[in-house]
Amino acid sequence: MSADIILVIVVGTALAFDFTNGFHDTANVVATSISTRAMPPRIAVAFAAICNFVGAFLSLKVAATVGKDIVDSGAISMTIVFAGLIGAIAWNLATWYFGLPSSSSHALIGGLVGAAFAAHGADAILGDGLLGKVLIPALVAPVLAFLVAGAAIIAAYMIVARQRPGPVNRGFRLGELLSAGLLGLSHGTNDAQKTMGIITLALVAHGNIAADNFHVPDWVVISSASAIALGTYSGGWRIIRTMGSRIIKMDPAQGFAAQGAGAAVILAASHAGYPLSTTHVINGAVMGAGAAKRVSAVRWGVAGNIITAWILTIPAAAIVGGGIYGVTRIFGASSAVGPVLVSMAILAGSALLFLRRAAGQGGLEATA
Amino acid sequence: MIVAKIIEWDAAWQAIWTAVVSGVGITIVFSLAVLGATRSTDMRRDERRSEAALYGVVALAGFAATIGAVVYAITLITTK
Repeated sequence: MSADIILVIVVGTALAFDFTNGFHDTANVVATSISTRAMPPRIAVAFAAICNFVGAFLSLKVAATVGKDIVDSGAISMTIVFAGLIGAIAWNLATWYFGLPSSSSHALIGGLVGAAFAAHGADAILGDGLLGKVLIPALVAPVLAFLVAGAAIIAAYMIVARQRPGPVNRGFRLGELLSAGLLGLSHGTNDAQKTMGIITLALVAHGNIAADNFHVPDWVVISSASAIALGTYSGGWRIIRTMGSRIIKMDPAQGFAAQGAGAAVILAASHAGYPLSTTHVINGAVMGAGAAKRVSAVRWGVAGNIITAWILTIPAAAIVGGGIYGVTRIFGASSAVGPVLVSMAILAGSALLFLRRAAGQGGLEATA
Repeated sequence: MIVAKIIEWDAAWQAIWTAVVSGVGITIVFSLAVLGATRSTDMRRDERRSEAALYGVVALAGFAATIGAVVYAITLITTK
């Protein structure tokens, strides 16, 4: 009975994380479209939500990586998954509060690794998978997106050089409908799968799915797709503002190049099964599209804050995940009391943060 | 040395070159579409019909290639 209650809490928490993932990452998909006026804000957010929902159904390869290749699925309990999720949600809320586009994916992986480490020590961490499929791609992907977007915008400027800016800008704004759609699909494909992987990991720990027969049930796919789409529609306007105008002021060609490069990197990585941070990729692409035009166009101070948040994400989420696991263990390894109390605390904390930011968000929404 | 063993190089290189070719390629073909459409409009206004038609073809080809790249990207993911 207690295990069933924990499973329900874990699935609910995972879907809540998925919602915050969509909410936090809306900016990844729509910031460039909004700042270049390719789409009105509300339309852009609704469009991104639909693309995220559809994208979640396209592939399950990343879900398998999260579920099998980072921590030992045989050593994972539902309490560990729960603690990992809370670590990720806490980091997501903290970075949202400060308007920083950090990685939900790395927060999730960090939280899970921290909780597994607290429970079983280093043996539960699959170091090869963590290094080869998360940490190294985390370093390579933003640099790759930076270079691809930079090369793309240089090529675009060469092709449309000496043309009238009005029609050229209108053309690239039209193109942003395509590139934003592709970016939304790639975001849904890459990010919703992480929640699917986590829920499936909990089902393995609960005994619903055998560890040697890892597969994602249909209801997990549908619920994860719905949660990320709802989160995306709710929109994180603070981060949209940071990405859309505080890193660089973009023109429509730069917006198209950044979105196209970001989508290309994410889709190529998803195809290979790498659970990339879409946040890192699209930020890298935005900086690349800006720096290729003029290095000083990028506000490197803001970029520096974002990079600091990136570096801190996995360790910070791991510390919170490990700490939460320790708190839940006080009430017993298989007791539902710990997860229930922690869930209530995180709900209260979230409500407090949202209330404190509600007035500010209204103002930002009006200016976005 | 350890890193070299951990990374699946084939998959990594494939992801990198696919990202470079598709990311830069889609911007180039769409830029050609924008160029073609802009020049075609200008030529039509100047009543240079054959050049307008030629740029129109460039615009259509660029746009078709962009749509093709998007469809191919989606197909690539769904077939994995």
